[in-house]
Amino acid sequence: MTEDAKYFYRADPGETVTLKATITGDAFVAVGQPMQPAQGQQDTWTLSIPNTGFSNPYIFKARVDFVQPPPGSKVDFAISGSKGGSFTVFPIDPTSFIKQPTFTISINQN
Amino acid sequence: MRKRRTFTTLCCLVALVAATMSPASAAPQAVTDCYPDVPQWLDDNVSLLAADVLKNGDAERVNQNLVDVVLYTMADAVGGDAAQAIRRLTPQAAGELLRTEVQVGSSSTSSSSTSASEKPGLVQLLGFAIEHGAIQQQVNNTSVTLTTSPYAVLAAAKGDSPQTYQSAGFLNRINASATFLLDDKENVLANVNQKQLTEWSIRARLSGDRSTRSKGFHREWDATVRPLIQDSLNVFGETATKVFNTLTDTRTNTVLHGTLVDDVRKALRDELTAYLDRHRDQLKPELKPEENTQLLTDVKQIILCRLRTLVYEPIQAGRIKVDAVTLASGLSQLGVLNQKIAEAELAIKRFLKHFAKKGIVSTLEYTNHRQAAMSDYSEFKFLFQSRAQAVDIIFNGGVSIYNHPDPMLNQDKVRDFLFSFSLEGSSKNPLFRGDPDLATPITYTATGRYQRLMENENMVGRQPDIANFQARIEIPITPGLSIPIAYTYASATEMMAKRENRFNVGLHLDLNKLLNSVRASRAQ
Repeated sequence: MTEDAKYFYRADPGETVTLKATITGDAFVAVGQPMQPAQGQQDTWTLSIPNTGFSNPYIFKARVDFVQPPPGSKVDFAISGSKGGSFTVFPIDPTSFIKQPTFTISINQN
Repeated sequence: MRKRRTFTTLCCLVALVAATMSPASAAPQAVTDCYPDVPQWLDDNVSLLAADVLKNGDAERVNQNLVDVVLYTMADAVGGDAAQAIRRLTPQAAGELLRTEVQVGSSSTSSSSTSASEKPGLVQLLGFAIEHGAIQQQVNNTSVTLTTSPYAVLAAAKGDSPQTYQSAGFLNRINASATFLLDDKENVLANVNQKQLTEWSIRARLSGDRSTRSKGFHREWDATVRPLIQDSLNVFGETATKVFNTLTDTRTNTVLHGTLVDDVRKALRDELTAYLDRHRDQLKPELKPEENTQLLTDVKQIILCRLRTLVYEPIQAGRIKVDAVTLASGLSQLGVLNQKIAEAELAIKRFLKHFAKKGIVSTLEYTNHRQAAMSDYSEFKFLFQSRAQAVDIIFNGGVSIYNHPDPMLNQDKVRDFLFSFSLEGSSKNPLFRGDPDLATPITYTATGRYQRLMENENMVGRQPDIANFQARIEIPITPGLSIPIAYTYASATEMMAKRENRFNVGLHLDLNKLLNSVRASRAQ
């Protein structure tokens, strides 16, 4: 993944994109539709892209809240797909943002 | 050891480093010439993006919420309900968005030092444990304290996660610490040896977990805040996905999908990269470029101008067609949800305040005191805290025993036993001057303590029964300035059978708070 593609991912028709949040320490993570919670997995969300009739792009938001986090707290997001990637949210800077990153998944149509 | 209970009559807490104000918390300004009458909400979000670009010296940071600001610009451009909805979104309705505590994409750092020393085996092992979180290190001017717990060791092995913590059972109820005299400040861990050890202790929490990591707090969050956040994220995702998938170029009658955002992204990347390259010398972290008004204004201007020319104007001119109904409906719902989230966050803060003190909090503590040229002793203490109405009730009871009593000093196996009882509370503050929202309450405490010191029995000039009482009230006058008043009575000290009565009035100045308050007033 190139740096400028961060928050912008690509996937193929028929593919299931998976977003996994790995929490170190303590944090509250939520991910919005069109991602759907993976059954039985608290910190994983999936998006099944149909072979035809899909939206392009799919846009969704995540949100991370740190409430009195223990030292070393962070959330690693890993997103699968034809051009997946990862990034990390830290509770390190009270004057900075962003706790609501927005993701865009574009579908390859070639 | 002679102990003197003193109360400092004049407390001056002077912070030399003034805290910085968030650019986001300052009053937003419509600074741009090419986007007149920019909606407040869009302006705030662009300010945050600009500050983040400057802080990291990286044009790509603008990608984080580019979709959001493009969507808000669309809403402003289509007019009607959507434009009204975007103008109704206020910083107050989403205070947490503007005053958040997170940052994306920065690398983690370790503050601990593990340089080599004359005892490399122990020091390296400690350094490894500290860097992996199994041991916490706290250093002050005269001592270094190392703290660990069975949970810290488990977390170092399995990973410290909410699941590990909540399944750890009693392992997160126990912790141990050791304090060492600090002679070598350059190589802190070199002080960790038996000779420098001044005390070590083990604490066991007897009551339930009242922390934000507990199941109880997570359950409350899941019940009150999470559903609203989930609704808000769902509304945003549905709205954005639908709007971008129906975005149409009216000249070619083709759906634009994500190409509009791509165009803005590429234009901003090139323009911001060129700007940052020209100002690279001003972008050093120590210069806090995100607080540089001129840089911030310039970067904000670049972003707003591109949004205006690539999004606002084509929509206004009818070259791009937007699903205005979906956009207006989504933004209206987001406005309502943001308000509810802000209220839920206040509610959970109130819940946390009471949850932390709910029921009875009790701890059992063992401390081994090691004193140079004196007899070492062990102390067993029971700490109890409860809350009745608005008053905290704190009770401590304990007994200490000499490890090796010295008969020449009249020492027996039991050194002493003591009890203390304290009431702490707070009340509204009618004397506070300034912003009522910043008013801090009047706090008051009353503490009684009784100690029976066995070695003082049958000794001339000493008293085995020592009683103390202190009443204290602190009245905040302005942010950072308060007046503490205290009365202290002691029937004797450990070394002298002499009564003491003291009445003190002081002035407590917290320059850091005071400066922040002045800055906040100016920003408004």
